[in-house]
Amino acid sequence: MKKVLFAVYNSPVGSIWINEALRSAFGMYGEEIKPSVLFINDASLAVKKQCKPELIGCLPLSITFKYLEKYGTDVYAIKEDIKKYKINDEDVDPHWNLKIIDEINVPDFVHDFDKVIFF
Amino acid sequence: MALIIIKKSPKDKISEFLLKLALPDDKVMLIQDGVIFAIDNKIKDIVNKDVRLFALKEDFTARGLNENESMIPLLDYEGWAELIETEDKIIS
Repeated sequence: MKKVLFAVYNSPVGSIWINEALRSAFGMYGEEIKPSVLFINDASLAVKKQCKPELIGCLPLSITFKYLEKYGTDVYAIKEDIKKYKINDEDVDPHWNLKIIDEINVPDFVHDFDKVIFF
Repeated sequence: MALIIIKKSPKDKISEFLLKLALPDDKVMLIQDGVIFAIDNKIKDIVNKDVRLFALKEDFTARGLNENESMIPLLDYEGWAELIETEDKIIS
């Protein structure tokens, strides 16, 4: 089965790219492609429980949670980004079932996928 | 081996992030505003020396840059298409 990584770097508030990346990822299950999602830079803020794009009229991130649970989609963030945005372990919404990778391992991690698409 | 395609300006943080993903024997193709990297020697400090760099000639010259200002090889659309055809793994 082919593996595709959707890597998002835009902020979760003020753009729809995180929702779009997740929507694209969920669509892969119909094609027998295994999707994963990686949050980079500002997108890392999405994992916080307190992150609520709906407060300014954007799509809520929470609409993706039932599909994350249903499909068990792997969601990753980079340890150094998590630290940079001052996100503590207790701040991370458990719906993401977030996996953390070290920045130094990102190149090898990314090369493990057949396709990588940045949003 | 992978082909990494960069389309954002060097000013955009994601561009440098993508460059740093390149492993030895990878190829990097600069398109759109990514071609601006081609006039800055800094790119060779960012990427591994065994990474091959290319920029899209049409996007380069469309920005008023002269071909002789490029520090890396320029490929036309046909060359870019051939590059994509030869690479199984694409990061973009």
